[in-house]
Amino acid sequence: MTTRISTMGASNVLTEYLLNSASKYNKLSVEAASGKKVSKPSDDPTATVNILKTNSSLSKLSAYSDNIKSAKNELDVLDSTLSSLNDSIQNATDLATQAANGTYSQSDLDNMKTQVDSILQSVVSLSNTQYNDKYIFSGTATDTTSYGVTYDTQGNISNIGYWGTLTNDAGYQRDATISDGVTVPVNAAGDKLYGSYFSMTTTTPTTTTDVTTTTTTTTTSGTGQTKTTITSITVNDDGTTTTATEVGEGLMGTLVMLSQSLAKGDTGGISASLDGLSNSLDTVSATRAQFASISNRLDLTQSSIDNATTQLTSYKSNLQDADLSQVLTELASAKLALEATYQVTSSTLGLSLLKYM
Amino acid sequence: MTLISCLGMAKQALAVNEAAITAVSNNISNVDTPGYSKLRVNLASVVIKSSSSTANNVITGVNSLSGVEVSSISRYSNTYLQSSYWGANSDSSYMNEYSNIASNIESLTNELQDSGLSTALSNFYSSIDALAAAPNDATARGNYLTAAQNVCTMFNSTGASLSDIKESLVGNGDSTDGSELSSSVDQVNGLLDQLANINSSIIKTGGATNSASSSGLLDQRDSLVTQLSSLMNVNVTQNANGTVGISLGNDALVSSSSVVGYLNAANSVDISGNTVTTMNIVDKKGTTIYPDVNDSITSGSIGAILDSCGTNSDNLTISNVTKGLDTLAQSFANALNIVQRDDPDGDGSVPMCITTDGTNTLSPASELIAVNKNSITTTTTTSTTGQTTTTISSSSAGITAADIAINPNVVAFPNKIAAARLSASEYQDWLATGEHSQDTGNNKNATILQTLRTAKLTQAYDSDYNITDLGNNTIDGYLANIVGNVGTKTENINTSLTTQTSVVASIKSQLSSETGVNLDEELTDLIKYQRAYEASARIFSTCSSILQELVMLGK
Repeated sequence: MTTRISTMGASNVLTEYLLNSASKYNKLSVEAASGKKVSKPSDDPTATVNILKTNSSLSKLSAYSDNIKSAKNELDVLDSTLSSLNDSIQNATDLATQAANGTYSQSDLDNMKTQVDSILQSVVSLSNTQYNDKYIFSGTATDTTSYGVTYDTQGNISNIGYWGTLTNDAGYQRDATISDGVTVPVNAAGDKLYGSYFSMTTTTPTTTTDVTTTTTTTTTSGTGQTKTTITSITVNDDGTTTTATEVGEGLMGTLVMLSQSLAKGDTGGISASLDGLSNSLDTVSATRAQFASISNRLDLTQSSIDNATTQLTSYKSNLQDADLSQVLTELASAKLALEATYQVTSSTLGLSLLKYM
Repeated sequence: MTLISCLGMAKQALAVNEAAITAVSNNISNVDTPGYSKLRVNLASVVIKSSSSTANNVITGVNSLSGVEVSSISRYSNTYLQSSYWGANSDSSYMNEYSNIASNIESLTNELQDSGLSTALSNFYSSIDALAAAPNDATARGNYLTAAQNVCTMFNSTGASLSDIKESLVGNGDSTDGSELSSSVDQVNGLLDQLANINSSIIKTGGATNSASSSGLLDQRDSLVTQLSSLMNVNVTQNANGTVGISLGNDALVSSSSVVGYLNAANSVDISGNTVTTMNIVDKKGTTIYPDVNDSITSGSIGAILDSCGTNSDNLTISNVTKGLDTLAQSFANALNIVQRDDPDGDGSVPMCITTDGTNTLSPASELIAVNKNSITTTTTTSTTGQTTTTISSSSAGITAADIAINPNVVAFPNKIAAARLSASEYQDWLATGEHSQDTGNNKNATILQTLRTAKLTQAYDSDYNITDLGNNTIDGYLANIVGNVGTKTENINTSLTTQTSVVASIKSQLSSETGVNLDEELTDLIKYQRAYEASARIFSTCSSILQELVMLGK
């Protein structure tokens, strides 16, 4: 005996096939149109988790890449500043070498002093270089001017002071994160590069000694700079004693003292400043080398980030993006199947004994 | 008298064929009626047993034939297939409902879009990077807060949408009113009432005899049970008298012509503040007969609602997804707060924010970043001089996805973000001499915040004893796991739905091929009975003309 087919049952079955074919076709068209085979988590949960993790990694890499770019910019500013500083020190050294010769007249030396003073001014302005509104030589006190100059009543420099965070303090360093848990410093120590200068005069009523003396001592400061202390004791006519103390440290100190020596025509002082200048030049070179190697490291990290980004992007694309040629082929066959279902449905539902009665 | 009996026979045959055509016409009329069972008129020849023992007399033998009669009208049915259909229908309706709920939940946690929580988190990390690059920049601080608020908003809206879904399914802690569950329960109770009525009608009309009049009642009965089985799984007992008994598990709901138990849903709130729904069976007066029958309802759309709002971690439940997001929100908040206010490494270092007092100087940070929205309170005090001071306080206790927020005090003063951190010795110097006050470019704390992106969060407490624990996952990783889990369960449900749909379709098609109407068959029957009717009419006219001949013969 053959199976009975109820008319309603047959049409229900056909409707179901129609819906099936249509939904399959629809899913494939969405895939083809969006170009994505995973558009909601249940499409492929495992791929979803991997896509999300890849997204995190990619956004992290892009953030590190941004950090590196901003750090590189700051390091470029630092390097060009240090390069100018290098030139300034070189110029001062040339002048001091000439002057130490001893064959120049005082008026020549006065000319040279004017040049040294202008070099000093440019060094002070270099020390206050800003990047993105930050004083780059102020340590972490980036809102604070790195160096300030004060003058006494005679118009002489009485103080060139460093106002930023001190180098011997671990907190002076500013870091940029360039990779998981890896940070690099992006600022150089201002006080170590530029040094400082101050002078002080005190007059005491009683004298302990009746001899006028000038003592010059040269030591090395905590930051490895040449530190020159000049103490002059003058016995005045009224019986008082004037003690003038000058402390010059590093570049600023050397330049101020060079300028004074030039004004006084003090060949010994001029020669002594040559050592200080050479010391400062070494510090600048060493700092430039240190940050050049950091910059180099940034480049290397950047290129490895670029590589990883390329790989992860292609991995993500494999997980998420539809293989268009495959989808389009499947789409064509789904379309064919849908059309066949239409054909079958219309011809089957059209069949009836009524036609022949 | 044979001719006269021939006339009688023909008359009866006409009536019988007419009845058969009526049945065919009823079948054709109901060709598209769901649940209609085809009727069939059963014919039998009528034999009158003669009392005389003259069986050998041929003529007497012929005389004892007396035509055709309708022996019965039978209704095509298959009890076994019908029961399996009801069972399969419950399961498929369960999967259908669950699949709808699942795709709702899935769309809320679809992090593959470019506008989800993970995008907000990624923007937040970028804002930390900007803060680390320019810790004393007002724009960087503002962007950091905006990004953090966006993360909170994403948490809030997902949390709120999840609880909205739950509320629309089962109602809130007070009542189930207006929920899908409540209307489903009303439907179940309505169907139980109708079934009891149908049962009593079947008893009155003697349904068991499968008469034409009771066939419609039986169809209605089956259709009601089908509707009931879509709502929940029920045990159906088909009795000999044509009535059905309905029970849930072992608890009877309909027995003969009366409803002995109605379904009832009640909500309560558990200690964690979650709405818990309990299904009970009550009598007509509303007194509970069988409490807590949740475990018996395993299928049907009500089963799906109960499972999706339940706590079984094997299922895709709203509360599990919410719990995952709550843990994530709490851990995110604590991780931020610990860096903002505490000393995560235990090295005695102190997070510092900026105080603006003419110039910007560093001072120890005291404000939290992430707080519980519900804990934000505004107090206004009036001093003796009549000046009013408004203080806003908040706490980080019990943060959930729905109520994580950024401290309004920090939003009002972005300088309160601790981007700087002084080491223990630096802090002593700060205390003693005010050294480092100017170090507003210090980004040590922002650098620690940057590690949040890759930090695997294990059990930790902030200074207010809030626990952070993502089970050694990163924030992004934990979120990916939540999404993956929802995806896996939704995929499973969708696969089961496909399977169940084809199972129910196959049973339905078997059932309909057993009991349904085939137009071609009916048309064939129609022609058959029409021809028989025509032939009977011919016999009638033939007999009539023979009788006329006889009358003429007698003249």
